[in-house]
Order: sequence, then structure tokens, then C-alpha cells
Amino acid sequence: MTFPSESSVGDESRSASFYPTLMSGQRFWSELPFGRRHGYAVHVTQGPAEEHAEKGNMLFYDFLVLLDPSSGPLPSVVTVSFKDPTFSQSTVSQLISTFSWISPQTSKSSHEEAASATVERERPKEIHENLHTLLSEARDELFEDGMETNFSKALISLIQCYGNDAVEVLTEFVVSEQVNPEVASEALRWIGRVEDLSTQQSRLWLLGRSLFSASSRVRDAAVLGLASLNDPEAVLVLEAAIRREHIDELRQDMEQVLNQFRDISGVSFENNKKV
Amino acid sequence: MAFLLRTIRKSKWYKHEGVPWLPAGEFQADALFDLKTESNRLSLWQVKDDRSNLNRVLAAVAANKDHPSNLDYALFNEDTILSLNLTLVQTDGESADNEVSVMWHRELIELSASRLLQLAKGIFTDAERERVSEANVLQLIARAVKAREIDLTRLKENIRAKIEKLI
Repeated sequence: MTFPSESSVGDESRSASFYPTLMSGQRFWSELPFGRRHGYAVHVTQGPAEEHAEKGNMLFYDFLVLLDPSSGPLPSVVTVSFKDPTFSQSTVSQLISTFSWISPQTSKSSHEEAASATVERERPKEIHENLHTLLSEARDELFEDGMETNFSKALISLIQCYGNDAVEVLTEFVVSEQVNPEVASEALRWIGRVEDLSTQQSRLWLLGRSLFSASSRVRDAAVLGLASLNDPEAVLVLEAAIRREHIDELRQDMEQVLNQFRDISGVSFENNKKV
Repeated sequence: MAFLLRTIRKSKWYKHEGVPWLPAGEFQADALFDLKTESNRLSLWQVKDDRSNLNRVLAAVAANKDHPSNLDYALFNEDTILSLNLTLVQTDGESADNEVSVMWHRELIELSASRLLQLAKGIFTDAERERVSEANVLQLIARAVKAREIDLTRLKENIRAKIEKLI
């Protein structure tokens, strides 16, 4: 895919009314929770963008790709959603192949809404059912830090068996808040412990996203999951979460994890860059 | 006066500022799960007034778990117990450090529901609530293993593997 050169469209207002003025492929920048991001508008429509802006849910502007490969290791994509069926399948494929860090949830949306069957293979249907049952039954369990439960063992087995497909389905449940916050919290604590590089990015994404959950308990669990994952790529999103966090105790716990990442040998993230 | 330690989940004890629906001065009902009793007894750990055994108690408790994890705890003065007329006894506890299990385990006994609620209020009001990160927990356990306070072979596999890399 070729993009036009930057036209320096600044998003001063970040208002919903601004976005429809962007043209597809137009370069712009926006202030996001994890810092300024340059990007390209892929497709913009009024409705959903306005809805999300009103909710203040800055991580989920539909129809935009935000990227800047030079700005650090964190995936810069906010979200990519291709709900417009006229959006060509080949463009979706190009995007996903070009930007390997596009989140799994994004891929799923494109699959569902743009019928881009070739972009992603179909998920085994039993994952959703199994996870739904697992999350429902877990409401009756008592959780304690560091102690295995039937839920944690089954969740890890599911991820080991189905990989990113399982993490994607879990992401849908957690992000849409269809899960009891206590159960969601337990899931987030455990996904940070799974030792599997193939799902690391999708787990990182879910944990990073959950730092902005409406539930303080989910946010706390996301921090703990990130601490277990111990991936310094979470620095930018963690810094953003710290700026937004209004609970003093939780903010301090976030800072503790941020320091853990900064302490990882010889790596400093001044100005969001490894030096 | 010594302190008493109970492991908790900090997020269940957030105050009104962090939980909008919660009336000011009240605590979340889920916090009571952190004070789960057995036979109307509540397990606690005693920490000396100079806190000199705090890290050893934390290591002993954390090393008894299935996986490396953060450790959240509430630490409150024994005065809280005395002021509520609760009965505290020394009993053997379950931890990875035999001396900690024998010397510093305590139990509140004959707890009624209303007394437990009073205790929860006392903890909510007076306790220090702290978190030891997973990384620091591992360091504490490693130190205890080196000092022969904890037997490496008694640790669960997931913890033992990480401790072996640290010592």
C-alpha cells in the first residue's frame, strides 16, 4: 500500500466532527493516551467515530490506523475496523501484511465485517463456547494470588491449545465487559504467566487495553499481568495509564511495574526510545 | 506493640475515590473474602514491632504458593485486636519456613460475623496495605533459601525453577 506524503493535519480538537474531514490515506497526528501518534486515515465515517469520541474511549476510534514505526516498540495502531463492506479485501490483506502488529481483535473485525475470509482462517467454534462456560463457572471460585484454580488451569490449557484464537475470544469477553470483573481480573493475572512467544503480542495487547478498563479491579489485574509478562514493550501504554489513573494506590503500583521494566538491564526508555 | 499481617488483594480495599458507587467511609463487601474464616478462625502472621521479621514472613508465605506472584498484605497493629476484644492465640501455621510457621503464626478464634465485620472495618481504617512485586517476592524467597530458612526442595516446581536461576 502506498500512502501520500504527510499533509500535517493536526488533530487539535480530537472531536468527532474532525474525523470525517480526513481523507482516506491522509497523514495526520493525534494526542493519544500513550503520547502523540502520527498516522494515516484509512477510512472514516461519522457515526461510530462520533459515538466513541463521546464515550471518551480514545483507544477505540474505528476506521483509523495510527502508526509511526519510529516512535517506539509499542504497536501504534489504535484500532482498525473495516465495517464498511465496500472496503476491499485486498486492502485489508495489504494492511495486515504490512503492519504485523495489527491487533488480533482488529483482524477479527475485518474478518466479520468485510468478509475477508482470506485474511484470517476461521476460528474453531468451540473456543467461544468453552471460554464462555469457563468464565461463567469461574464466578463461583475463590481466587488467591499465586494459587492455581480449576479456572486458571483450564484457561492456560485453552491458550496453549488454541493460541491467539483463544486470546482473541478472551479479549472480546473482557473488553466488552461481558465478564464478571473478578473473573476478568483473574484471567488477566494468569495470561501474563503463560510462557508462549506466539501469543505474547496478543496477550500484551489485551493487558495494555485493560489498563483503561472502567473497573479499578481489572486495571489492577492488568498491571499485575504485565508485571508477570515482563515485556518492556508495555512501557508506553503503562505511562499513559499512569497519567490517567486517579486512584493513588493503583497509580503507585503501576509506577512500581514501570520501574521494573526500566530496570531491565541496560534499557532506558527516555523519550520512548531504547538507548 | 507487634503487628499482625493478613494477605489480601489490595484492589478489594480501594476507597470511595476509586470506586464511585461506594459511599465515603465504607468498604467493598468483596473485601470480606480476604478475611475468609475456617471453623470461625482467621489465620494471621505476627510481625515484630521493629518489623525485623517482616521479610522473612513474607518470603515464607509467598513460597507456599503454586506460582510466583505479587503478594498484597494488610499490616495492622495488635491494638486493633485488643480494642475489639478479640481472642488471639498462637498456633502452627502453613508456610515454607518451619520457624515462621511455629513462631509467628497466630489465629483469631471464636469469631462471630459481627466481630469479623468490626475487624474488617479496623483493617480498612487502620491497616497499611502494601504490595510486594513478583520480582521482589522472588528475591525474598531466594534470600531465605540461601539463608537455609526455606528448603528449596519443598517449593512448588514453578517457583523452584525461578529461584534456582537466582541463587
